[in-house]
Amino acid sequence: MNELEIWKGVQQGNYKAFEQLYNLYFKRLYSYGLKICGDAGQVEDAVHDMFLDIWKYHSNLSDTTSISFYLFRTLRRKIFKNQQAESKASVFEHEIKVNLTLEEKGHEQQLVDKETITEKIQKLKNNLVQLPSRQHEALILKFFNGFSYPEIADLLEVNEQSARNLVQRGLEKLRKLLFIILITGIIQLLNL
Amino acid sequence: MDKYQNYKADDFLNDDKFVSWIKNPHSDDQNAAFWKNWVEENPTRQKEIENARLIYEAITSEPEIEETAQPRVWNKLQSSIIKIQNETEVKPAEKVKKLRWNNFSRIAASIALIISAIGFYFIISLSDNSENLVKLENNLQRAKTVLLSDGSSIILSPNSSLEYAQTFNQTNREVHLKGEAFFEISKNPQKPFVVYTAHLATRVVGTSFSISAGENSDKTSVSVVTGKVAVVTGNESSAILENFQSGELLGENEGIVFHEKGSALERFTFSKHPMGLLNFENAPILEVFNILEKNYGVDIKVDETKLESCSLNASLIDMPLQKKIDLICIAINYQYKIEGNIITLKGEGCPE
Repeated sequence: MNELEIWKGVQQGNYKAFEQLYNLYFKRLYSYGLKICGDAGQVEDAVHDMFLDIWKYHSNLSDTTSISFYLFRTLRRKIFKNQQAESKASVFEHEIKVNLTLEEKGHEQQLVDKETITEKIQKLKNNLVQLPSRQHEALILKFFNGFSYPEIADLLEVNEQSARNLVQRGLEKLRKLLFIILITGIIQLLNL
Repeated sequence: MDKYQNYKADDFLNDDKFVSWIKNPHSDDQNAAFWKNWVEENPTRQKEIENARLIYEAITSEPEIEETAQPRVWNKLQSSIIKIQNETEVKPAEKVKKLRWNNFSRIAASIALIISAIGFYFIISLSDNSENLVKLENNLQRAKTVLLSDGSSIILSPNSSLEYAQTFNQTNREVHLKGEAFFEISKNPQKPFVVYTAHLATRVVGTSFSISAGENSDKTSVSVVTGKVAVVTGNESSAILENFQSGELLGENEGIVFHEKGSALERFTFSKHPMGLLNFENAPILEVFNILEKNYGVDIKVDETKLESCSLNASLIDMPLQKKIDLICIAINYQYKIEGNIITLKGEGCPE
């Protein structure tokens, strides 16, 4: 069965098709959810609620040529709805604060510690969530999920130019963040 | 003038060609060749490109996903679906018109778990063994169905006997067989099901198959209807996992015979097992009950007048009796109860 046949099956209430749809998309949707939300429990709830709705209201599902687009949009709404319910949405709206973790490093071993590339990426990732939520999300949609600008615009409910601006500004901020992270690494080394 | 000369990390990432290169840096297309060359010719941009890569990797890094997440959410989803299914059953007006229940075998699996709490042992004679061993002998002229606490069913042929612990232990489910039996094992990868006969040990995860190990015959045979089993020769002591891993694997419609004299294993295949023929297409539901009654040696009590015009589309293969009853009851919106080998169904006819 190809995707469209699976979708047709789901529309007709075919449980096997429903299961196939789940298995086909779970990982993509779940990792997308984790990327934009970070709380595995919340993401699981959202994925669960979304698929339950699909099953419950299967006869109301419209024909779609882009199933993945439909699913991502629905999941995104679920995540934000659940977050609003728990009033955790503000997490994303913080100003950028780089985690300058200037821990005391007394040991000689740590003195020669050099930051590896993976550590830098880790730091960037930690700071990624501190980007304004929509910039952050636009970056995930663009680079992690590979959606086009028209699709990103549709998902974020903005026009295409705004979607481009979100990506651009997000990247610019990340570049500055990376710079700060690199500097911090140097400060750490000098401090000791 | 090359526009890339003054690019910073974020400018590079806004360039689709650049992104497609760092996505597949080892691709041998023209684009990759261009960037390889460009980087070499512009060493001053090296730092920015390295930073662009770091940013790209931070954005695209795969989040850590627990392997259990997918099945966990799926199980939760199934319970929720059962719940809403039950809610709609309360409201007859909203009943689904078509019987789509052959798609519900997975749902039934979890229902079976709930119902097994009121599960029932068909016990003919209970030995007073202190280890709580149940010993069943079928001295009747017809097959007897044994329902196990885990939802599995075993159809014990005449002149055959079965021995098993009243409650299975934490790690596996073991039964000892003399004679012949047909097994329909409820799936549980965590607790393998092992059948011992005098000469063979058969290990299953979830499947249906029959074993024949007559006391007076020198042959033992295992036939698999659905699923997979592993067979090793010897008694309990040789039935360890390592041995099964190198044992004889049997798939659907495959069998094996052990001849005591030659102590050799001989494989065979067969086309259809009578118990496997439970694929119903528009079959009158009363006929389905007849077949189940005959196959399992049970008595199904139901108000037949209410179900006269009902038919079923269902594949009842590869599931124990209880699960089959579960499925039928989901489809026609009936309740059931098992007492001994009597199954009583109650309801108001099939949905229109």
